[in-house]
Amino acid sequence: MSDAYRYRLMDEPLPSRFARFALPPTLVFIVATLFQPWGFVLLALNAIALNGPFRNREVLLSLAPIPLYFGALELLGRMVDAQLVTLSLGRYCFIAAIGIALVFGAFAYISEEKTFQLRRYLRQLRGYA
Amino acid sequence: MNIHYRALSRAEALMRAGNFASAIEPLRDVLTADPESAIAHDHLARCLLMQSRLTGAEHEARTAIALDPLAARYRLTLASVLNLQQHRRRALDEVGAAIELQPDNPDAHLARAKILRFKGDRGGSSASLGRALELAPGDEEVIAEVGHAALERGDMAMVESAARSVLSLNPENVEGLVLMGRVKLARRDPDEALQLALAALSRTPTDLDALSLLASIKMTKNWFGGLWWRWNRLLIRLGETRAIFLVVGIWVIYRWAELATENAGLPDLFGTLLTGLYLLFVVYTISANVIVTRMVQKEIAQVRLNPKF
Repeated sequence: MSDAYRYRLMDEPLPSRFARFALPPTLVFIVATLFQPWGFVLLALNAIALNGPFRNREVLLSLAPIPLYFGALELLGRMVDAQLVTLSLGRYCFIAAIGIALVFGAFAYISEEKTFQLRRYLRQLRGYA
Repeated sequence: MNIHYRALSRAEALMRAGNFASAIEPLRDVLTADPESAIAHDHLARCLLMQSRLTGAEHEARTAIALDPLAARYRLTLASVLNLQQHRRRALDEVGAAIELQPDNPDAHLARAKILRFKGDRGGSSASLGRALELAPGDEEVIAEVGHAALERGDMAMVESAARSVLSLNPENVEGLVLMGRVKLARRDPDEALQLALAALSRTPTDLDALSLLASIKMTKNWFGGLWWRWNRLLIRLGETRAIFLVVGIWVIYRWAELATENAGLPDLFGTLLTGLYLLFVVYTISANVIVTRMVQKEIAQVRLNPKF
């Protein structure tokens, strides 16, 4: 019987046209943290390539740091201009905001890593593509 | 005998032999033919649980309950999954429902004792374990849980006694072998502990406690990996969410410290030192992970070469 008609386990990634472009999530996450905030787009693209059971959630979590980054930059910039906070305090707050953004990225990364490991295991097991 | 029944029997035989990974395909065959087989969904949940595929295991366990809400056993499977996902309250709710369905089911009281132990409620765990012992005094799993509870208290004499009792009932009991391995490791006999861990893994290659024991033994001889192993165990104990907050918290503190040295007008050397330490931490975390994983895999490969495997 073809695999398409067999009972599918919920956690297994679906075959994807972009599967061959999937990269190890650890590598992608390191790149994303080094090239903030646009590096997180790569994490979102990797989620699409992996096509795991939580793909849409992973894409949203990967992209969440981008508006957070620019939102914090804009808000803190205005607060510094209005002399509500000092530039030094603003920089500390900005790092905290990036930290919050990284939390979202980390959740996406962990979810992608699970899919990646499972995909590798299944490929070893039965030539999953 | 129809194909559906044959596949189910084959899966059950594989599960009894501890080969949970191989039981998945026959169960998939059963569910392709009959997607409403609650027992097949439950078996599948147990197999996935043994492979730490918790998302899939939870889905299968919930499907089994939806198909047969009055089966206490399916609720216990779900409780085990939820416990490993660190959703202790929900796991206890499922066990509570199972006890309501079957008040004298020792497995339900045992499951409750395990969850409460993980939750840190020693009194509650001890009471539930006492009830399980009353209902099934000679049950290997119940006695093994006595050993696990003693291990958490650091009472190695009790752990040894429990392990001996389990192994006298069944010399191949994985939990008994692992508990005895823990005793040997605590008494600084890593070679004997290694033999016990390998014996447990040759019985159930995916047993998490046996793998954890094996890695602990390997790490006692290796300070580089040992440090990482302790760090990794801490993250696992914290659970996914708290671990993420801890790691990101470390990053934020590092960046704040970097900024503080800059604001305080300290020489550039301090900033460089901080960056160096941070990079060292990152490189160490990644490389130690690879090294420890390879060491454990090498040891497991040796188990596979063993003719008894």
